[in-house]
Amino acid sequence: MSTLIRQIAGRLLSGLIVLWMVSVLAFLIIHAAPGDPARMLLNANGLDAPPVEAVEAKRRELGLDQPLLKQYSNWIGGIVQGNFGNSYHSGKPVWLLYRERLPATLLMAGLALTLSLGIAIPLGLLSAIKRHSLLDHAAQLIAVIGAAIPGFWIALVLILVFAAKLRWLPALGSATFKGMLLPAIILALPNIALTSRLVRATTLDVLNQQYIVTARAKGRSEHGLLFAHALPNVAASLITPISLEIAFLLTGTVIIEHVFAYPGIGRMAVEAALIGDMPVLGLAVLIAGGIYVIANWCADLGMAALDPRLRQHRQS
Amino acid sequence: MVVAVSIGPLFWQVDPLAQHIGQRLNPPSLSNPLGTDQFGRDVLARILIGGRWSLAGAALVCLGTSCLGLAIGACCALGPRWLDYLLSRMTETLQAIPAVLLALALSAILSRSFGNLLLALVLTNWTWYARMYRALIMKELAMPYIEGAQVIGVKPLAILTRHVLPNLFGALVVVATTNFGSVILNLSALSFIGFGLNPPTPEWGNLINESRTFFQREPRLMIIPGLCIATTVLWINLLGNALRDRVDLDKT
Repeated sequence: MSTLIRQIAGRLLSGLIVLWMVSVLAFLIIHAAPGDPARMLLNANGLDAPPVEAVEAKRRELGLDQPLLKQYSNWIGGIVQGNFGNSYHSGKPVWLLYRERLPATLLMAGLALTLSLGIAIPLGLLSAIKRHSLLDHAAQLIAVIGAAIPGFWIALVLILVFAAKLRWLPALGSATFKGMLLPAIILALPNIALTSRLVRATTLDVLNQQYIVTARAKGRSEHGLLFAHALPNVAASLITPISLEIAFLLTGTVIIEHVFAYPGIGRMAVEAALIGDMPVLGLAVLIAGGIYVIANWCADLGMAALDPRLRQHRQS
Repeated sequence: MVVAVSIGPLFWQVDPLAQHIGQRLNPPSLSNPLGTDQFGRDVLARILIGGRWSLAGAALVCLGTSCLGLAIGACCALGPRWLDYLLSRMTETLQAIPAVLLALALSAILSRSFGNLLLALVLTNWTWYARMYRALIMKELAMPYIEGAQVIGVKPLAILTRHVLPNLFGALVVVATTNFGSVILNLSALSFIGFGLNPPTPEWGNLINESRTFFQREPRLMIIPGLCIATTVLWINLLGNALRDRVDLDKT
């Protein structure tokens, strides 16, 4: 077996282990919560003070009288079949709630990612090529300040300026372009700061390599140097951090959606945490873990596709 | 900023909780340099006391995560390979889930208090430290002088405490400083959405939260605590960068 395949198999396996551990964690989060799930579900269905027999029956129905390991295997079995349990608050199946809210979050995160990559990559490249220029210093200053500003606060400041004073954009988020522009910009800001610096450092690193010096000595134009020789290597080393960035965009959505009252899964998670609606939180944990693992796998495969050095092992 | 919140309250002895209903939402004046809030409380006093909670909380979280991360990192580096694999997957698992989400879940399970908020932050933040310390300890263990110590029969635990840790002390300080800023941000974010200290007690994050209902009329109440967070984190990050450059220079 070639090293590459073995490597990929190893990464797949550790991804699966991580996924399994995430599921255990989600299960424990759901079950460690205070309060009796049977009683909470009955309350959600409209019974304020359910009789003891009804609670007992519900407990048996949910399998809460069985040992913890059995409960875990039941829960996993349900998830495989698409049954994620019911919300303690509304009594509705949790996956239905997510199906309503997920598109809004994905749209906003997608817009934020487009913004952050669209600005950060050119900015980083330019600051690397024109090193120590005014642009480079300005970008650095913005990055340093951007990393220190709390996102929820700048969100409020921008709402104050653009929604309350100028009235250009709505203060409350909604799944329309205007409604998600402000939250997406704020979500993108820390990533722009981080990624542009990363692109700059990586590009400088690549430009200092000897093969670039050789190409320059052979008379390659600066343009050709950058696009034909440097960029492919910069792209290869940026795949992993950028795919992780996608995973962490979702962290930001939790707080930002809360500030804008944006109808996405982040706000749903905050609300669920405040009222103790654990099945909703549990699925949020599962989704986040799944996205992280998938992003990691994609990064590994992308690396293998982009970097010929990793493929050469197979031929030799 | 750190100096201001630590000795500031000694000089500005106004009760941050005292309410003066007649003086609600006053603009800045001589008796209230930053004005008053919706209950007529002095904003300067609340900012200073609030900063104490924010900074002390973040410092405690950094201390806790440093200890936990160091312990796990040492187990990874010194323990058998299966333990390393298991612990590495565990850290990866916790990193897979956004820290804010996990802290939310933990604070929903535990009762809502400042201590539990800090605990949740420690439990979600240590993974980053553990990875860092694992790499650092392994690098240190590969040094020739460690091999020398092993040859003359020094026990593994003694190697760790007597030889590795003193050499890692610089790195330890740098790691904690660079993380301190982001802990302040996370702490204030969670306290902003309503986990942590209960209302009468001021903290930078919940000061911003309380100002939300008035922020169109009185943006001052929202802007001041935010600026405090931003400047504090900015200086701490700059300090961390400077320290990192210094330690890296020492190594080369």
